[in-house]
Amino acid sequence: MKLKDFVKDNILILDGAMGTMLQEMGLKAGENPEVFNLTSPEVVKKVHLAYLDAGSNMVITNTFGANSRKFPNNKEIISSAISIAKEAASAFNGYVALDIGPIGELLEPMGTLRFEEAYELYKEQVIIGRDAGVDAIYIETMTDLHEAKCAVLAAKENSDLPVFCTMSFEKNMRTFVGTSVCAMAITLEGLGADFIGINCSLGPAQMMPMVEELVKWTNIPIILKPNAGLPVVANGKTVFDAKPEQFAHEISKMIDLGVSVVGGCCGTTPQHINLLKRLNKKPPRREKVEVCAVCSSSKTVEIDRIRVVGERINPTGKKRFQQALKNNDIDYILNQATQQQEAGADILDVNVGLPGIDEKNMMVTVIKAVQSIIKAPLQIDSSNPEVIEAALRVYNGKAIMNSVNGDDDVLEKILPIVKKYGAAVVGLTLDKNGIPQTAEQRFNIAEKIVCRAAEFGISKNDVFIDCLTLTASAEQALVFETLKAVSLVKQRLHVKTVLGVSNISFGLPARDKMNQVFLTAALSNGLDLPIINPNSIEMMDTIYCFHQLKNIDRGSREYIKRFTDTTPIISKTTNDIAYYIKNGLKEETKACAVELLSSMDGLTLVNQLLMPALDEVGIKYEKNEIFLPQLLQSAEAAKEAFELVRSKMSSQSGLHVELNQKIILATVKGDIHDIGKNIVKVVLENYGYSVIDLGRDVPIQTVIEESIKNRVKLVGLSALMTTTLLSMEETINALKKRDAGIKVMVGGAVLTQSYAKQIGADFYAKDAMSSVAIAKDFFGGKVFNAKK
Amino acid sequence: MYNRITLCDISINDAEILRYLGYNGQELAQKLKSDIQRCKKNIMDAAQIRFVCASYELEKAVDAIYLKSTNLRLEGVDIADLLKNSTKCILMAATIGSEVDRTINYHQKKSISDGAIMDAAGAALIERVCDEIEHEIRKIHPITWRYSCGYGDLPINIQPQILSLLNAPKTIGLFCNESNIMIPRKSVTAIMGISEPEATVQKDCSACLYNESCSLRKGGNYCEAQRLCKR
Repeated sequence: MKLKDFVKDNILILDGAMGTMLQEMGLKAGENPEVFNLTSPEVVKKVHLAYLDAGSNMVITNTFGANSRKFPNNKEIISSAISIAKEAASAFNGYVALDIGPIGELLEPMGTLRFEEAYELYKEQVIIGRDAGVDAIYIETMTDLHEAKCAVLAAKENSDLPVFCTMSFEKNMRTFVGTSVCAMAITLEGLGADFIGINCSLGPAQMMPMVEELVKWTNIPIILKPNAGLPVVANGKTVFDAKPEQFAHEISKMIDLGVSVVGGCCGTTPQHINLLKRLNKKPPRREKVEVCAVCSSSKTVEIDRIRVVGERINPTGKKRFQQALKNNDIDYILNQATQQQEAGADILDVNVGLPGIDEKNMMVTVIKAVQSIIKAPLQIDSSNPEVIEAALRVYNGKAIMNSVNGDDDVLEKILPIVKKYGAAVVGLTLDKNGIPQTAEQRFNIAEKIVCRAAEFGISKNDVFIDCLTLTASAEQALVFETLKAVSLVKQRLHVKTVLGVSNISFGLPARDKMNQVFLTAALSNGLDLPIINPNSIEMMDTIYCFHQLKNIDRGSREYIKRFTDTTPIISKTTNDIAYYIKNGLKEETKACAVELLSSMDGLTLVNQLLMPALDEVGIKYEKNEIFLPQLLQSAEAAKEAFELVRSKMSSQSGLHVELNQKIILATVKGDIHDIGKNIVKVVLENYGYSVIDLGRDVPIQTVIEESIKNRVKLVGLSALMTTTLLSMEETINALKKRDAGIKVMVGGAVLTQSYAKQIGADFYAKDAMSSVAIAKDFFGGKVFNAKK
Repeated sequence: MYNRITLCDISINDAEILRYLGYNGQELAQKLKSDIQRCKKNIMDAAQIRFVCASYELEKAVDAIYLKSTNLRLEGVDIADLLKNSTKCILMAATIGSEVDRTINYHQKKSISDGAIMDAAGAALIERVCDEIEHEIRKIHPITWRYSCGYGDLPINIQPQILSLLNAPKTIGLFCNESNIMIPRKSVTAIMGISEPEATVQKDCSACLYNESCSLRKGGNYCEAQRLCKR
């Protein structure tokens, strides 16, 4: 019988522990169980047979860590493991699943293993399994949702086999890296995993709350493969504290809750499995759950109240943002992200489309960077299918895809991508003929989009309709058609609605006021997901008021908290901006700069007031009169002023501050320490240098390419370990080979003047201020200039 | 037996945070003091303290010390010296978790000074955790002070083996990458000998790889190795 049919009417009983069983049969502590497939295949077969005899329906191959990074001969190991398992299973009509565990190294952004590299490792294993005729792919003990996604994609894209995927959680219902149970459920079900659940780390009793949570978020079959209790050390040995009867009893309770695939992990034996078999239970009846949510790996946002989508990561009409994109200034974009999250945005829209830049590359870079520090789920905003696919592929969670519309070509091209990656999708009520005039016409397009999405298997819960905000200045008569359309869509289609609110006021004065009123009107007509600027206090205030009025904020708790919070008033006592910089007072510096810029030219402010203040701070630091945090607070205060100067110049006169003295900074390949480098960056930028920050764990080729592309002659490299010094030396050699004129400065805890010389560096920077001195020497001359 | 250890009330010592920031008696404004408290709280809130310890019998050969029934080999003068009175040793791995790393990365983007202070607070916290673990172990039996690979002449390339022996990736979510950098970043592995500690162990900086460049030595400070034996 096919596995998919078997599970319809039967509880699927998996096997128990392999590692601990092998240890009883000769495997030494620290030795890899996978090796036994080659050295002692009869022992492995014995274990499989024992489980099958005890009642397992499906055995899982002894290939937990068998990726090519860990075992150069992994192909041999996997092939052997599969044939051993198949031999054993044949006698019992059992199924065989290929076991795939985590690679053993953390994926980016926490670690240095790239998503794409991990994918290749998983793909290889899946193909071997598929070709050898396994019945399923069994992915387990994952703690990073990103890695789980990678493995599931590898399985789905390289085979037609059913895919099982379980993750390991701690008592606090999160994995080690912070993935939540609901984020796992939403994301993996969206990717097409056939069975999902929980294994290892805990005993069955501790898993109860997780199962209770899981059944609320998914409709697909649930797997439970607990350890034989919690480990305790008795007489120098580790034993697990749940006896087999207790183990089976706890699991029985969870079958009643909704689990239909069961087995045992560390410490379990054929006895545990036998008792599961003897429970003789049938698959539970499950209530269908309706889930309307998106998520990052650590935060799930249910669309059960008004959810604010932050609009700021978008170059349209924003000169400063456009400049940042052209300069690859990822930090600027991250700043926009953190500000919006702090201001209360629930979801962030990400749009990096600008003529002249590689949108796909930029989108992937930005998504990876944003999701490494931001918890809010993202909305991927692009019209290019390649960009959309690349973004959804690396997104760690379930995103919103913005957008499709009523045009058949667009729907045919993009809905399959949305379905494949399990995203939600925004549907704009326009088509080849443009934006319809009436609400009824827009409704018709909405209906078409919802139906077409359903044909592709995309649930109504994942389609968000945007009835299009027109500008009140140009299309005044049609403003209310949008609101009527929203109303119709809510009443008749019962789907969530989206609107880009700020559009309404384009071209009018008092934009804030207009936006507020339109937002209020739209909310009353059924808007669920307003795309707004969350930094606008008034717009956010409107949401709080609405939640109170609609009885969502029961007891007015949130409302009262928001409107009785006191924020400290900045008291500016002097106009001496130098004083504020020297004392590291950011807000006061900013306020002072605003005032000064009303009567003073930006460059004058920079050259006559800011730079001298910074020079003083630098000297104090050298003399040890101030220490690191004081230096940095001054630098940040000055940075606020610089930002104001740049914004003012680019918006008013179309000028941008020319920073043509460029320096590349990078933490070398294999190294992930970057706070030192980031400190150097802030300080160098203060002194007017244009820093191209390549980040950390930077491949040698990237450093070379960027230095050529940007015509950079001074490169700063950072490394913190003796192990990565080698990587630094290699990077220097490669750079100098490519261009003998490039100069390299190096820094990091492990560097000294003599090491630096040894590895071929031109300069040794013992701290951030030294790097400034090096740059001054290298470039000479005035730094700040204005250019059109 | 080490599973039963519970760490009580771990807190971060302000002086330690300052030390990591290279403090040398400068004047601290009230604002900076409260910034330090705020950053300290962020780190304490994000910290998820986990550790694992196990003991092993030693086999002393001419060229190295081996841990019985394992593939771990300890080379060098430093470790031989540490374990000279021991027939058994303890391996320890401890971390304050990945949420701390994320918190530091996040705040760094908003404010580099906050990032630097939090980084220092994280470093101070993990050392404090290690101190406490040692303290608790000493209630069971005497041990030497703790020694980590990668500083003196004990090579850092045994890091993956230590983590593997302790099953650290699975039990406490502690990994190391190809360059032997531990992730989460605020983590420590260490070896301790089971024996009475020596009365005076003068460990000087000359043997340390970071001797010339160490920022802690600037202004008369020193690192954990020195600090612990000065006790």
